[in-house]
Amino acid sequence: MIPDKELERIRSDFPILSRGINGKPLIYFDNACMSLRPKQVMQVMNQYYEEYPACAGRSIHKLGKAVTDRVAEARKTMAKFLGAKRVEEIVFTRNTTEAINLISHSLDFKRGDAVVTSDREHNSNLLPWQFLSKKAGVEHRVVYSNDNMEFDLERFEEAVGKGVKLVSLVHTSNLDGYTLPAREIIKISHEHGSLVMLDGAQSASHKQVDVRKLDVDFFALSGHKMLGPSGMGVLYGRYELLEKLEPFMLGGDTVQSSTYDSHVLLKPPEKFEAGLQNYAGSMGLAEAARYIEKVGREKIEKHENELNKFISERLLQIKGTSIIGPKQVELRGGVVSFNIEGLNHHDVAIMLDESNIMVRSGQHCVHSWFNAHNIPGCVRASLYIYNTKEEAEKFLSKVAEIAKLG
Amino acid sequence: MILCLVAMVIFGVLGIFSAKYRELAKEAFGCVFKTIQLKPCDTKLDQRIKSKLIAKLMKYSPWLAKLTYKNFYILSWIFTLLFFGSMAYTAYSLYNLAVYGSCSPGSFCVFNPNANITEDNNVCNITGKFIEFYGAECPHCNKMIPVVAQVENETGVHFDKLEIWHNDTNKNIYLIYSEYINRDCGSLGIPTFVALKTNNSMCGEKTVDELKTFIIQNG
Ligand SMILES: Cc1ncc(COP(=O)(O)O)c(C=O)c1O
Repeated sequence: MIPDKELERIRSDFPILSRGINGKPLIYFDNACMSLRPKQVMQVMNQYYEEYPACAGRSIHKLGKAVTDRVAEARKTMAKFLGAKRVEEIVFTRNTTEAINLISHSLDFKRGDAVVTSDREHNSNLLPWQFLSKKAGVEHRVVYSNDNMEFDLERFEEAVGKGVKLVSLVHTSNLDGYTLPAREIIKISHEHGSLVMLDGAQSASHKQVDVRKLDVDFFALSGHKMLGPSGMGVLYGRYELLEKLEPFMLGGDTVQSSTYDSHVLLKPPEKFEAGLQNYAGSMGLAEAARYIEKVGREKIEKHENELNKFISERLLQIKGTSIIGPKQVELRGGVVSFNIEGLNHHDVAIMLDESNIMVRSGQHCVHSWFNAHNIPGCVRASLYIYNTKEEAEKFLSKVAEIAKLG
Repeated sequence: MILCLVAMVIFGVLGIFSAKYRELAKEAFGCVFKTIQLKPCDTKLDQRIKSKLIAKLMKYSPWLAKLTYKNFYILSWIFTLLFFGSMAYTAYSLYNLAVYGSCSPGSFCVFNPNANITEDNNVCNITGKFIEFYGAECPHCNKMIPVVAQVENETGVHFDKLEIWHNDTNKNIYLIYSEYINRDCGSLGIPTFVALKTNNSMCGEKTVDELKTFIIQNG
């Protein structure tokens, strides 16, 4: 785990942790939805608004130049964060959802092509394919997990046969924290001539991700789940692929020039970033990436999983509790999704909230999995860099108290 | 839904004192309004109210919290019925207060706490004495016998009944009050009811309610 001294310093960077709610401390275990933000990120964003609140790329004046430089720097930071070969492979989006939709709209899908997903996709990596299947006759194949809720490579090999244009999978699941064996999956997919996109909303922020080592073709992430600003995301794409893609949103900042009946598009990434952008957002996101790198993603991953181990072991000792996902906690990263027999998941979350313990309850946008398993929902505690063992202890004792109601 | 309706009223009142409750009242109102329009009310307000309540109860008695959690819907219905019952009773009491000056004639009244309850279970604060003058053969007076008896029964106030057609002593007493009776009734006649505390009087056939009001106003 992250040593106490360092943890204390990290926590002091997050104003809300010291401010609390109405002066009372809070325990924030809803990091899979949105993380808290350190003051460094907010400072960088304020700096944009206070010192150079202008356009990037267009205006030639001093302020315009300052923004252009900083956005370029932010892109470079994100390229480094993901291990991209070229800075131009980083497209700024609003979030993971937009990044996935960019691909679903821009890749030249034809009738008869197929897309493969897993059985526990966030709606953001499910609906675009259902839509495509309805609109363009693209087949959508689902690979079911094995009994221990791990990715089933054998079933996958069967599914990834002919005609699969894209394999689009959740890298780390927001349902149970499970990270699938991306390297093997990508290798198999490429052998079959399929492209691979990873929904990295829950992975890049919690563990080391290197798109080149993974050899992944597309990778999507959201800034607000990695200490960054809301409404800021990234699509990584291999440059050769991005070059061939048509943008699905067009307008200012995507063209070199236009006549009344034609235009010449800019090169990636500009051709995908239509209209003036969230410049403060990209700067904030880069600052968040720097913050994470400073602590170290391996350390973060270990910290979360050790906390998870502590929580999971004790949670299962409480009568009536069950955890969703693989049995081995090592496979569940920093997410504990659970139910208590006889208790509604929302009730549990509201009661925890009464003690300022914030978790999420419901189906976590993975409705399809819950509906297939006939489970109404669950309570999810998701951990991050600033969570402590003391918080885990308080959480557990409250859950034990609540479980007595069941 | 029903919880939303109750919540709307309760938080509406609490909202006068606290912004926190004002928010909840607004939410409850939105919920009730949607239900009226046959739209789903999706704020989970009732679930929030329930779980917040249980969380509070848990601090005092886990046992009671569990019992409440398990039987919440039955309990909420019971409370709802009690709630509307007590609202109706309050309305009835306010009506009594307006008419009789006490919300509950004959017992303690929160709206009029100074009303004292005597051992005889009298109307709140009646201390004065009352007389009914009557004539033995007077038909109007005879009609009043059950009415007066009922009023006496319900209020605990006793009328001294003085016959004046055959009893000269009583007739003389009647004449002492003739000035007030003339003033209040326009002429002398029977039956006549006189309040000794205020010297006000009332003549003719009266209803139970009129007599009660007279007692309250002149006792
Ligand atoms: C696994 C996963 N994919 C996609 C998303 C969608 O992210 P966003 O709403 O930021 O686009 C989320 C967010 O909860 C997620 O957890």
